[in-house]
Amino acid sequence: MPDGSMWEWRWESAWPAILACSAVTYLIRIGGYWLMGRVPVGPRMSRALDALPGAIFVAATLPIAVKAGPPGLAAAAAAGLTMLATKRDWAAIFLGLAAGAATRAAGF
Amino acid sequence: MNETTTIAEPIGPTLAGMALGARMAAPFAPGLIVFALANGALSAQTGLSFAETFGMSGVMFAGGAQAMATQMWPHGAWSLSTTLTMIGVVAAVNSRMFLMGASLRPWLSQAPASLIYPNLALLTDLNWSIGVSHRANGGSDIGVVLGAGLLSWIVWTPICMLGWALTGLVTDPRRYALDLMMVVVFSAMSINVFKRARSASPFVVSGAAALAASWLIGGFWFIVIGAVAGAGWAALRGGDA
Repeated sequence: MPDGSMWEWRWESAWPAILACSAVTYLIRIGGYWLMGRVPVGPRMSRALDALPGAIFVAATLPIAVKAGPPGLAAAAAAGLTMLATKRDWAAIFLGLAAGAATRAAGF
Repeated sequence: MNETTTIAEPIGPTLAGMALGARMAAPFAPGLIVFALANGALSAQTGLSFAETFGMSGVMFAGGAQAMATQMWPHGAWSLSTTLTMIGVVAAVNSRMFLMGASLRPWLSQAPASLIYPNLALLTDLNWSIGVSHRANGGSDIGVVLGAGLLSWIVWTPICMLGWALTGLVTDPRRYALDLMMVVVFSAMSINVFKRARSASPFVVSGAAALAASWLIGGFWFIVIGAVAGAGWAALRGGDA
């Protein structure tokens, strides 16, 4: 690059950023799926893939719920227990959000 | 793995499967609507145009990343560094989708690639979790993933635009516990997956690693770090992990 000036570029349109963010997001969406078709899936990889959905659920939910404090833990517990007891996801979502909002409204 | 699971459904995607996926996603619509209103309002307050808001909502179609990107929108001109920083944050927030896609491979690869790659454009927390829950119940129609994805796009995108137009309708998503949306959706949809799991130890490893990563590193990488640790544990442990 002549005199390293590309860091000095300025432009008005947001579209380069919007399109780049969209493209990167799509590549991430297909990337893991594509990669798993390129690597040999033996017994170990098969066990990893089998455990992956549950591991994603836990890794995504636990830190956010803990960081949010009582409202986060109440929301997670209400949603999980309702699903376990009733198998109705609409009830689990409703009671989960209600438990979170109520705990927060109560000042926790 | 699934020796005992009886799979009566076709692979699809069938219309019946898409309708089932849409029906399974419907309970999430009210939460999605309020989140979309808040996201649209944030876009308008930040100064995004109608078309730019559509680009972020309907083309990128990733609510959490959209909210983060909007908050770092430049006030003046764009530069290479603001653009690259935004791309980096979007990639970090969306990095979990990489693993979600990987986890769908054994199931979705039974359908032609020309069908799957376009459908993955609609991959979100919602249709992924509905799909893996359905799969854990013995279902196999990939129309469920597609139908749930289509419904969430059809609800999400226009309501974001409505929120942009009606700025200020929902300004405090925390009041409705919408910042806990992913926690609630994942807690509910994980139940079927956990019921089917053969061993709890990968999930303990995943949770411990994710908690440690969120404390030590912060940011958004804790999901990927925890999930990879849990799946890696299952691979290395051998036996029936």
